[in-house]
Amino acid sequence: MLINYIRTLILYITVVLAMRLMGKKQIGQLQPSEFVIAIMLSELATIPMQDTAIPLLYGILPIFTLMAVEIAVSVLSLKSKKARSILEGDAVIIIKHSVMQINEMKRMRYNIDDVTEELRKAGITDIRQVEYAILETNGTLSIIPKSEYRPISASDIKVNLPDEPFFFTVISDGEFDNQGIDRCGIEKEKILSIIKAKGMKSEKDVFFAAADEKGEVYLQGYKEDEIK
Amino acid sequence: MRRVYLALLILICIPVVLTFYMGYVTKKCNELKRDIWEVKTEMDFDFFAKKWEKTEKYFAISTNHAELDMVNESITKGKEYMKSGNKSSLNAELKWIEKLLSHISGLEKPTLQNIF
Repeated sequence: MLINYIRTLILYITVVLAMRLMGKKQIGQLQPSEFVIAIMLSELATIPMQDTAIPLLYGILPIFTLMAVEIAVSVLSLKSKKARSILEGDAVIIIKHSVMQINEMKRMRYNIDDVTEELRKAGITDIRQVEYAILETNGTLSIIPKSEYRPISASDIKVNLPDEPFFFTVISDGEFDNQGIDRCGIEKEKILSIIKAKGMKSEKDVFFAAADEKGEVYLQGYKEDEIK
Repeated sequence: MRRVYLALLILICIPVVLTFYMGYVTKKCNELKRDIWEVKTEMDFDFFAKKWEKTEKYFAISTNHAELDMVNESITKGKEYMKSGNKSSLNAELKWIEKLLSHISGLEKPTLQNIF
């Protein structure tokens, strides 16, 4: 059993490493080839984890092989449109100018209920409001409403709005976040002086702090009402 | 933080408990390996079989049940060889039980061979 414990730790690290090397895309939006790899990886890891009679390398070797294949396929998809089309498929128009494209729906085996469900999810109850609905290669349906049903934007009413400040985390759970500090270009001393000015002693008293590039800082202490 | 401590506690407790368990399995296997060569009569064999039955219950927690079944099978065969006075087959069977016990204790050790 101690062997199972050690093998589990090794395989966990291997799979996490493989997933990280394959890229963040793996986790969020799976393409068909990535979906297959994700399923195979989990299966490959669990079998040698449980059965100590199977050499660990029988699990690790295929995991790294799959990882290498996946990276090669991703690079190939990136470089070649044709390869991308073969490996990931193409986006398909399901609704065009409020009309369901029956042949495309049949080809993609996408039924009316699937379409109406996706429309409802997007907050649309009337198909006449839809200009286009596109079935993406990862299986999601992108819905583009007709211009008269789109939300009004600032440019529509010709209003100039100031740029939205972007806040980076600079203190997280009592500790400085050096990456966030570098990104917003604020100095630690300045943050500390703001903390002291707000009546706190040091970064240890701050649960969360964020700063923008202009040097504006938002602080939250450990008590929920301690927002400065 | 409490959950983190709990997770760390589990991660530490598992190898500690399993190390003790591994020590127990090795000790019991060594005892049984010593006892097997002291089997001279049918009564000795019965005594060994009873001792094995007691130990087997605890071994079954972690050891592959197929290995334990093989030891049980060998004990049954050994008893029959002893009844019929077939000494050479009996010796072969005792040696086989010894091998199996060595294998059972060896399987629990965290060696590179076992891990990989």
